[in-house]
Amino acid sequence: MSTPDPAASEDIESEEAQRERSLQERLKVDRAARWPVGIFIASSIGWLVFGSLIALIASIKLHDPEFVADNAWLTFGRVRTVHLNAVAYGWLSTVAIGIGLWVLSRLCRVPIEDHRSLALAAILWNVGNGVGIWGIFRGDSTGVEWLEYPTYAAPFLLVSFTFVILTAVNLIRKRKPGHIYISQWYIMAAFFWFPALYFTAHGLLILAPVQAPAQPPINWWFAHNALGLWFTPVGLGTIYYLVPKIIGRPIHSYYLSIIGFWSLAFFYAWNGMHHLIGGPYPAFLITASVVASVMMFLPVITVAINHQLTMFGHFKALIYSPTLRFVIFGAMSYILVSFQGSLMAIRSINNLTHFTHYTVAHSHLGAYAFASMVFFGGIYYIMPRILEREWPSRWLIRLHFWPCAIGIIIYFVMLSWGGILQGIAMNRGEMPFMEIIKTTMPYLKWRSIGGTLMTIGHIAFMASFIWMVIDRRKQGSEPTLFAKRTTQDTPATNASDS
Amino acid sequence: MKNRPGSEKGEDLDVREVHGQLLREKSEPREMFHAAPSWLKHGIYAPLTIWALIYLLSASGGFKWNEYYEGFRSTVKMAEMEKLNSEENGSSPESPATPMSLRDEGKTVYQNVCSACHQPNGKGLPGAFPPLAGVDWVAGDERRLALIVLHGLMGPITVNGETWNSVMPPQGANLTDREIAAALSYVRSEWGNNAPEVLPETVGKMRAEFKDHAPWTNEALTASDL
Repeated sequence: MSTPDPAASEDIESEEAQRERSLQERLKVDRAARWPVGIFIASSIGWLVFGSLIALIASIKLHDPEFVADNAWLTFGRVRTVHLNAVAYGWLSTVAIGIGLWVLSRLCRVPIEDHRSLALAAILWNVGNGVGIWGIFRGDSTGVEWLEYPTYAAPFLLVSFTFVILTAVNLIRKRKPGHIYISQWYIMAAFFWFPALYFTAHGLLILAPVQAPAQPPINWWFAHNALGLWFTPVGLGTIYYLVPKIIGRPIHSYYLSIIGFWSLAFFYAWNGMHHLIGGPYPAFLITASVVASVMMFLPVITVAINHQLTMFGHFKALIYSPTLRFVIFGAMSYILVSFQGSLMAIRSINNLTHFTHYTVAHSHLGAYAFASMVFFGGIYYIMPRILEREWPSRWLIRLHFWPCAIGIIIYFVMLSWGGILQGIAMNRGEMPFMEIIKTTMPYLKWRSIGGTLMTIGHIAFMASFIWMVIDRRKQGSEPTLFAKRTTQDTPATNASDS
Repeated sequence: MKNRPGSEKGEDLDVREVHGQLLREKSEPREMFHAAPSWLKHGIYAPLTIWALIYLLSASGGFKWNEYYEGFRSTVKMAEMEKLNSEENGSSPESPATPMSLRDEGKTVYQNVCSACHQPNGKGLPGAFPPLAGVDWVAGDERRLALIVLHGLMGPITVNGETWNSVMPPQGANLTDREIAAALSYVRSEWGNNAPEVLPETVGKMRAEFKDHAPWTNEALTASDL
């Protein structure tokens, strides 16, 4: 294989002219993205804060069942479900669309063409989410996990996402010639995978339900892929874009990138059945899923090596760059959560962890410590560019990072430990069920503490965001960093960045 | 196609003055073309793939739809064995091939049907479900016990001096006489209980005698003249 040189076609341009052209392109991309991407990101932060407050209610109810128990809208069955949907569709999906489209637009070097329609689609997307959440609150949940939005919310989401896909396809079709960067692979694929998953599952489980025994495999195929083929690829695409952008160094290996992408695509789609270990399903169905889950070691180790070799020698940048700190926290969590997930799919380990809080801790490690943290980093990078002003206060960014980071660590460690104790006790079958619940109590309280910390971080984040949008004064070109850069860590041609 | 800088001078100025974020940005990301390290290929990819193939072939029950995973035992073969046994049992009830006693069979029934309320350890749940371990109701008249399982029980009862007031749903329609007898035999010989086995015929007799009876109450049981 000859090595394609992305710069070959541009040799005729002088370096100075190239930089100038790149600046112009990025300026157009950012200005076209201002409204649509801005609306997606702004609304996602609203959903994040709402979802965290609701989560706190659900968490407190688990150790204090009488907490706001007189209101039907705030019973556990509804708040827990509202939390899941508000953060999965309101926060993660919304921010994934916003960041995904921006990164795609940057890398294709094409501005979003019909940004007015896309801005309308962003509003429609939020209407769909609002209707869905309201539907769950009033008791119209479909009862299918991860697909609880009542059917009347689906048309809004369908129309809105159609616009999103059309935009993405348009960007890819009109991309400037040259190398296709790995983030483009991930994000483009995700924009096809997610609607395919959502509407297949919605059709087969809600509109025209298949026979009952066939429903759980479809349900878990969808729910697990929503994480693996939607949040994960957009998250990885974002990491792949931001890390080289901030430390000013190319990704270590194109080959590792591409092995990572295709092995993720190949193995992840099989993973969902590991949720049904011990269930009444043919051995081969479960075994295939266990194998695919363990094989996820392959893409994860590959991506991890690629990231580490890229970062190697540049970890100092974590001291000052807010974006990089969030993104690297997310990238490290990705490695951890994936290793853990592969091990949890092994039958003998699953035997212990299944139906315990351990699984809940695991899912938050994925959805929060990985996906959410990466998207926080993405927002810190994107907003100054599309708004053309700086983040107002480094203290607010600190107040976002530390409570969130400490909160999720408390959450994960405590709930995992409680889950293991719970699993051991349930497998032994000597202790009455009520006693087992009592042993998990302290860990459930720790969860509420971790959740409170994260919520504090989110409120600081929202305050910081609103301040930035309202206050037009901070238009200087000095980035808001955690600390002053002491040394230039690369012989950079242009200055280091937030 | 290409945006030559000279053509849009006005916007250039714009960039310099307003958009400092863009100016300080590093160049767009690229990828280098280092080959995948060989330890990754031989030390990670290869062993993972080999393990995957071995496990896939050994734990998939020949890819049959009706093979369920039970610690590598073939569920199809187990079902065939069971069928064979029951056929043999028809001609000679004392067949040594009979693998399970009534009590062992009852353990499965108990775990599937009864243990959700009465708990695997037979201690019940305080305030909700009465215990079965060391209880006079269990060790007492087997016919009364069979009737409770067949038709259910409601209203206040006294178990070991404590009063309970909850509902036990009828199981007569879900379980055969043999299954009920098995579960009762298990309950009567487990957790320190030591009462004789209950025969399927006894359950059958009760089922026939009190056909489609409503759920029992303490008074009705006392009045039934057993």
